[in-house]
Amino acid sequence: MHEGIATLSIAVVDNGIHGLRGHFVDSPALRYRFEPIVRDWSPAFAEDVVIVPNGSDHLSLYRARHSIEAVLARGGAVLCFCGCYTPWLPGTVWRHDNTRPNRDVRYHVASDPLGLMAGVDPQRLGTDAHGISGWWACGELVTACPQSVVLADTWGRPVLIADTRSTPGLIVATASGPLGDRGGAEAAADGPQRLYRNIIRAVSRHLESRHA
Amino acid sequence: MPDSIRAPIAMLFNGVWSQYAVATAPKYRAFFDLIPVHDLGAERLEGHQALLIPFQSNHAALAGRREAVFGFLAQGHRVAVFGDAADWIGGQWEDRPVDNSWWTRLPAEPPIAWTDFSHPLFAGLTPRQAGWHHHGAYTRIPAEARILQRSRDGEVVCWETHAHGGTLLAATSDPVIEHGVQQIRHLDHFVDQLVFWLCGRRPDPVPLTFSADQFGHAPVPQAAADPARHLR
Repeated sequence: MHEGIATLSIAVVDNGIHGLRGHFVDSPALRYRFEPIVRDWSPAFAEDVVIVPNGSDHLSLYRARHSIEAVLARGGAVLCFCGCYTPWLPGTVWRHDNTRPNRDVRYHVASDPLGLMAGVDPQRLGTDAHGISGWWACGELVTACPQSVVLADTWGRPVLIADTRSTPGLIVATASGPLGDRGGAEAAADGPQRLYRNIIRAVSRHLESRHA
Repeated sequence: MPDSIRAPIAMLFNGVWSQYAVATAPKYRAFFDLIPVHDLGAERLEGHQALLIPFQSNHAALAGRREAVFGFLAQGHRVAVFGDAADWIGGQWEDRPVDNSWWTRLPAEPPIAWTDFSHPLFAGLTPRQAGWHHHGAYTRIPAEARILQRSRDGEVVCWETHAHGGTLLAATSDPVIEHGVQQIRHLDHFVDQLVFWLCGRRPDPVPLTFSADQFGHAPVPQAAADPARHLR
């Protein structure tokens, strides 16, 4: 996937929840470092890519928002696959909404200049192997940058954004839709694993363009 | 109960969105005080009737503060622990595959196959309300513990012990997280009953809702905790 590109180092925020580290498995192209949240957490990320996985601590992230902003200010990437209910992510927050029935959840692509949805079946994201819909995102993203909406649901609620305007960096966020890297263990080629790979590819291009 | 404590149940808080969504929901906000795991101590538990430790807690951090939990139990309180790998409470957790589609494939065979409905936590619940999926099994529990739920394979899903003074209940299910996620929409029954079992008061019998003003706000500094106590 990353022929000719050096290994990408990624910091993964680690909230101490069971099983997290199994969702981000090193490969020749990607190396993950887990950044544990501790009391009075104040990280200094050396990496240009920070992942906030599902199940993260959004109180600590708010308190550490300047560390996140520093990554973006230098043109790095922040990928949030969680429900960011505090305003630590520039330009975007998440809010819950259970007023719509899960059985009617369908996704459609709004705008995709970075190619995040290339080869991804939008319905594979929200429907499990047994045909049950509504099992990926929850609620919606509220963004100050409407042009950043990549994917919306049946009712037009943003569930995936890619924001290159709010900061010098790249922000990708899901409406708490979990994504991870099991090192190829997930076989489906057109679902969440493909989306994750596409996001990493877009991040790599973004970082390359910064150095060009 | 001190004036500064307005809710009867202390909920250990790992900052997770689904924990937050439940604790601040209009239906439940009067019942829960959120206590960040890194702030857990005897003084933060004082004045509460019970402690709820939800799934997706930081058990490594929690284990280092176990004295506060066992001290609270020694005062005769109830503590309910849901997941994950909570070996520090005296059991042995092992992961098990999560069956999220049983209700379409095997609707008559829920993953939690047996429940002791004589226990007040499950009083009045149907088998479907008392058990959805579970994330693991306890392969070892304290010798004096009472088994309350078992899986299809007969493994222990839920147990309780009175060995520490109060009641310590542990389960490998995830009621707070799943209720917050709202992909399973019938968990009001169980969570309402859990609240009642923990504090003796029952939430309004209405479906869980969220309001937009719950989300998108900066946390409240601890010094200005009340009345906006949820984020202190």
